[in-house]
Amino acid sequence: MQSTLTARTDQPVKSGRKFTLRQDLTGYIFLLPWLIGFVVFTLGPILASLYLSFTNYDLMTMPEWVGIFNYNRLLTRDARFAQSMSVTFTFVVTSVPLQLIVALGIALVLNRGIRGLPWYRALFYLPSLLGGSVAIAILWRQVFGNDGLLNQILLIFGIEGQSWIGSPDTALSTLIVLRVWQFGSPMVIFLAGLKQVPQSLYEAANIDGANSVQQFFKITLPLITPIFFFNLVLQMISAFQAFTPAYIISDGTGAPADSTLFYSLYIYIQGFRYFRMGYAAAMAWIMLIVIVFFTILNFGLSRFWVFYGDED
Amino acid sequence: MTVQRNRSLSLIPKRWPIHLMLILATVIMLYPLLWMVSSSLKPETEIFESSGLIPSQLTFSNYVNGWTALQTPFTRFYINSFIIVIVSVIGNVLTSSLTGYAFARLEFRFKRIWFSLMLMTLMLPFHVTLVPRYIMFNELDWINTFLPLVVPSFMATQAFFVFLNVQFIRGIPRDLDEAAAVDGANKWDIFRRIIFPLSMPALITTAIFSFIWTWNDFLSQLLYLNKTELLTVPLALRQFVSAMDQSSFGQLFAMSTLAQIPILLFFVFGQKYIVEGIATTGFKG
Amino acid sequence: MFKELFGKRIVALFVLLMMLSVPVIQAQDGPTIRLGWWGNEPRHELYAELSDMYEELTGVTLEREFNAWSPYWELLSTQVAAGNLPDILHMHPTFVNEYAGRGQLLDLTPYVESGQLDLSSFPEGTLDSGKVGDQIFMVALGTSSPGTHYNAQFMEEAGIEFDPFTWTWEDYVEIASQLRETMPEGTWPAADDGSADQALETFMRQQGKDFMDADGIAFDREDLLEYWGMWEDMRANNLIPPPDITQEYANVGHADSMLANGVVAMDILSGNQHKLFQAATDYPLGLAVIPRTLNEDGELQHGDVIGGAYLSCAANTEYVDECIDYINWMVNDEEVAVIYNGEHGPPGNAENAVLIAENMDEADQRMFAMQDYIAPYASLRSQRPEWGTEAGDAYIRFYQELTFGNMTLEEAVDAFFEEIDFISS
Repeated sequence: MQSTLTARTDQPVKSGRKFTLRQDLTGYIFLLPWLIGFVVFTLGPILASLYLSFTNYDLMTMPEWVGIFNYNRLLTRDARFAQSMSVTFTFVVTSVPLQLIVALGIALVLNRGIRGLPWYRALFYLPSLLGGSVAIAILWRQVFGNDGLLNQILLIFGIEGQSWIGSPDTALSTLIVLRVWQFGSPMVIFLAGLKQVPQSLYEAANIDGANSVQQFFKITLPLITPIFFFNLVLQMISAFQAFTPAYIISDGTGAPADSTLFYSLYIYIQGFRYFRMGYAAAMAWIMLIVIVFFTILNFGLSRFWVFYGDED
Repeated sequence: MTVQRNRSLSLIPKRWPIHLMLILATVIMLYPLLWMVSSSLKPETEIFESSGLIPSQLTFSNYVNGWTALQTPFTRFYINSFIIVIVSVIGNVLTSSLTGYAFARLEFRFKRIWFSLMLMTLMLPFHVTLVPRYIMFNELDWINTFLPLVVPSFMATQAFFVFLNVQFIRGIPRDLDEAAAVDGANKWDIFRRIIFPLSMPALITTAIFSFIWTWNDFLSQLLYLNKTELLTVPLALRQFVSAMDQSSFGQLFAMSTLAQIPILLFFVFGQKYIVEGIATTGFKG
Repeated sequence: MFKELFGKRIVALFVLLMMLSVPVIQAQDGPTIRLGWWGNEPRHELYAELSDMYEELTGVTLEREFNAWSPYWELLSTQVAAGNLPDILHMHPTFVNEYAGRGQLLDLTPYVESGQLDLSSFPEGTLDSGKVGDQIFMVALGTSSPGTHYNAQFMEEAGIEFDPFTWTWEDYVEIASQLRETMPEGTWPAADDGSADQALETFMRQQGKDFMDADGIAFDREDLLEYWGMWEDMRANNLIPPPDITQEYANVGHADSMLANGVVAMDILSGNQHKLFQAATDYPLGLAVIPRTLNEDGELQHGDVIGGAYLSCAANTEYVDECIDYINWMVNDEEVAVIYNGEHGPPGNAENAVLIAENMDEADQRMFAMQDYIAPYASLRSQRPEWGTEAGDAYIRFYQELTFGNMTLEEAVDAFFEEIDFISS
């Protein structure tokens, strides 16, 4: 991802070049909407929430400066904060790899020049489009409920089901399944990537007598590591921010026993149920730091396993 | 070449197990959706009795009754959702393209810094801006208007769309710009006459994704809209769940099914652009 | 330049859409007043009928905002934050302090004194139940206390007879054990009401304490050990359902409830819901008080809490007169009283209470009988601290930790008190 990007941004800007006022003016006029939006809706709020995170603020009275109290309370004493972190990490660490493996697996099968590829691709992609909606979360509640679809099907095989949504042991798993179910969008990206792998490499390998397993590990896998990496970063960032399904499935509480208390949900509860806006802002900053950390970690680790090959 | 052909030939008889597997996977994946649709067509009593898809009798009463079950008919919620979605789509398309052009084609000071900042917002968790934005909109008296939901889209706040357009515009041959410049066209003319029309595929992708994401959006609508007459489809569905008995689950499924139709339509007609859009941002294009 | 590019029509369309995106101001003759209430489906229909009546009568348009109990309060708190409460809203003794204290509710006292709001038929106690300090902030639509709803058929099959007004917690457990013998697997004698705040509150008041008062939690570790211990024993003896089943039924309507479907034989809930349960089931139901505690002298300790539904106006409403008129109509009109039929317990207006008592069905009679019996013992809920909502959530959460076996009884109780220390800091 990175190398492609920098390769491209580099080309137009020649070092040491002076910009004329006219160029600046034209450029900034075109950039103006984005620039205003960036300052008003992104940068400003980020800084404001940094400030708020050091205050006590209930939306009705003025913010009151409390120093690092919120951070201290969060990191050392708030058991629900720890719980929401652990729920979110469990969710990210299980759902993202599963989702990517399924996506890659199906993409590999589809990439073998299978007939009806557009059909399969479309059908597999469909859940990715619908999955984030309230309607699907509602559906999920019914599928995994006590009288739900899953238990009805299990009953056909003579298996007595349980309430998957109602038990803290399984409630989170249903949300992981919901996420993995949306493997279509990384799959489409994998498919686009697999198309780039030059056929000549396989032909050469065939001549050398390599079997398909060897071909996969020696050719396909290394060549698609950049795509894998891109998907990994993208899916991780979005998984960290999951909200709607947990909200709908637990009625906005994180129940049962906080087993679906996603980090986003806990921020919402603190901010908009208990009106601890400063506290919620501190939580948001911690999330920002966590995501930045993981993204940097991802990029750092990528040197060891992502194979960029030569730019073409 | 010969090797390749032999390989595919020898595979043809073996192909049916793959198809079988894929079809099976598709059915499993889509079963919950099919169950939802079929349940919405079943009489109330039948939904939780069987996991089968074929209703004993086909009834549309769930749709008719569900539409008005919240006293304010769903017509209002669909109008609200469509207003928000259409205005957002227009905003995203116009400003993402404009910004994309600035980043891809124009030269100005600090461009690289702005560009990296823009890329960074791709991975910015929404939580960080959540509370201050709410406070800001509250101060502006914008709560219970659609403004907090549509105004940001006129400022290219969705980095994904900007990035998509930057990537696409970079792929448009510079010769066209230069030829126009020789003819005396200024930057605006170039954007208007060349870049904007030529980046239509990227704009369509932007429009489609912007439609789908705004349609599915829940949290910001939940925060900013809390009067019945302003509710959108997702908010109305959520209220449906909390206010109704299980005996009206057929209606709930009916309304959930309807809520998917706009997305489904976009999906059917815009599939090509969705896939291309993903591939464009998915690098190595 | 914009025009050249996108054409006049597109600009016009765009301006139109922007205008539409600002809330549509409805062009109507009378004012539009927002009315908020909580409830489930049958109640929504009832309110729809009444609201239509009122609109026809006055030309006022009532914009209806309704939700189930907990989303209703969640939404109100967001609306408070935005200074955007409905003009007329349903209030409850649990929350009135919080809302009145923050200056969100209209002080109705002047309107009552001037006679614009006619509460002359209200008994003094009922009128006072709507006061915070000396000011009237809400008017009772109906008052009711929680009771134990039971399945009379299951009781009869098990050969159980008991006095529904004087039974104790020991009787309750004993009866549950007897029911166990005749009830099939997959059903339970009692619902798990350990997380229900009304049951807890009544229990603690029987000990001379309370769930919460203005300073915070108003009971001790030992009290909670005893109370949760009782529920744990019942669970261990299969007298109440396992926690995942309870969770599954957490927010369902009356028709889907465990009680209406014969999944449990006893459940502690607001008394005014009795007829809703009876309407939702073919089983004959009965209504008892919440079980009592005996003190050292063997005397019954009651401790009932007054709940019900009240009407309030938002402090910042533009339509004060219209709101007062609406309240007047809702609490005093005889036709309304007949249609409303004690939805939230015996009406605050004593004359209307007598009026509807003439035509009550059996379920209503049971509810009125219970209310009559406990009236001398029932009192309003105490004021709660600012973090009362959070403490209430914490109570439910640690009870769940206990029921799902994540913590032992002692651990859960200690963790709960630690959490309260933490929340209040």
